Amino acid sequence: MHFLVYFIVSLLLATVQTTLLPVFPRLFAQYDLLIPFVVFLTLFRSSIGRLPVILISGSLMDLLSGGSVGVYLITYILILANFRKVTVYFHFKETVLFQIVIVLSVLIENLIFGLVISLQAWSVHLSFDAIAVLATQLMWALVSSPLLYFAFNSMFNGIDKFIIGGLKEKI
Amino acid sequence: MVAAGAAVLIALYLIVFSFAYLRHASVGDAATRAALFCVSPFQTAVSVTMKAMDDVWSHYFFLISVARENEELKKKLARASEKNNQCREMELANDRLVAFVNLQRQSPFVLEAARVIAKDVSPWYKTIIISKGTDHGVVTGCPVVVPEGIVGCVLAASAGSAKVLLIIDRNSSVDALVQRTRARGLAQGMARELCRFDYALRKFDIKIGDTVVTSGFDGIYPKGLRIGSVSSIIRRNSGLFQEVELAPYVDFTTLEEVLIILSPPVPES
Repeated sequence: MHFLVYFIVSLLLATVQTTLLPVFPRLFAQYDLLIPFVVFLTLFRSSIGRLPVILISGSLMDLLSGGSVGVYLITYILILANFRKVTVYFHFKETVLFQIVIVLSVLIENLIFGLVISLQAWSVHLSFDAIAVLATQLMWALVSSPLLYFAFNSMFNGIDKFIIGGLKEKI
Repeated sequence: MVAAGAAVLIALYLIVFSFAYLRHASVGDAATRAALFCVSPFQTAVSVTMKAMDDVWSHYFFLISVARENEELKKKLARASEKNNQCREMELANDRLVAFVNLQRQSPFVLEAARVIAKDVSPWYKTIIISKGTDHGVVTGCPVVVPEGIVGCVLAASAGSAKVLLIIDRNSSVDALVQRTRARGLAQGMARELCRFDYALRKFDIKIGDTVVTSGFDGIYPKGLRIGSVSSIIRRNSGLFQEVELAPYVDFTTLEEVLIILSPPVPES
């Protein structure tokens, strides 16, 4: 059940990112919306159904993108691996932690992209454009993450209540 | 009796005439002016007040009906604007489709029209997803064009959709020619929605504004399709090649429909 919900959410986010957000290219299109979702799963959800959905989401994004295959997958796995235990060691307010981890994750994703691009000898043509893209992404990550936290949190709380209510009725 | 009545009548006439005479006299005039001076401010005040009250009363009711009418008109205007917008959209779509049909008629290739349904998830890469796939004969490597010029080529195709690599993507290379000088080179995608025209020899006199077309040598794009115009040239003192930048004719930000060339071009020998 959890897996199904996660999968549907990731599918929805990927769809929104490829169809709705490119309408506003200058403002929104440069922000990977799957990152907040993966971070939310990593930090605040149990491990049930988490890994498969992250693997599927990464693969899905890789297949939808025209870039090198595996970049998104590696990013999401790195997020999961690096920030899985962050709540144990760092005690921040949940929204602040979510915000920090998202910003770091966006940075990681862009570093991976930058690495792949420079490996393909495009570094000469990056410079200012790359910095502008990165800055826009980080700004949006910072601004939108609290809102996304509340959206994910209330949605999954509702789903949990629905599932627990259903189980209680069965018992 | 009759004589008494006649006397009263005559007396009345006399009184009336005497007053009429007095009006023209200076004394009567002064009295009238004095009376007017005293009364007219009150008359004016009362009259203005009455008028104002009448205005308020009539306008209040008038405003209610006007407000209703205004709401109705606003709704009508909104509907008309919406309809106008739809008509405008249809007109624009019609213009685009007419250009498409003309291109289809003129082109020796089998063309299939498709809609752009999504764009790349990453800002680092430039691909689009179109609404036609293998069910419609689209296969990997099919060139994608619009009347303005070439868009890219199909990177992967599923049953009902296909991913198209745009010519402005860094992974894209198109064998190209400068139309005027026939200087050959490679049109490669850049970060800023532009293309580089690489490997153009220094000996060719390329000028800003020159049109660059496909050469047909790459086996993907048919010969003679427009790519873009030369937007900048740097010819250094040393080196074999000149650095040329192209501004594509296609506006990739507003791409809505495309044509896929289904029949593969015959490679130039």
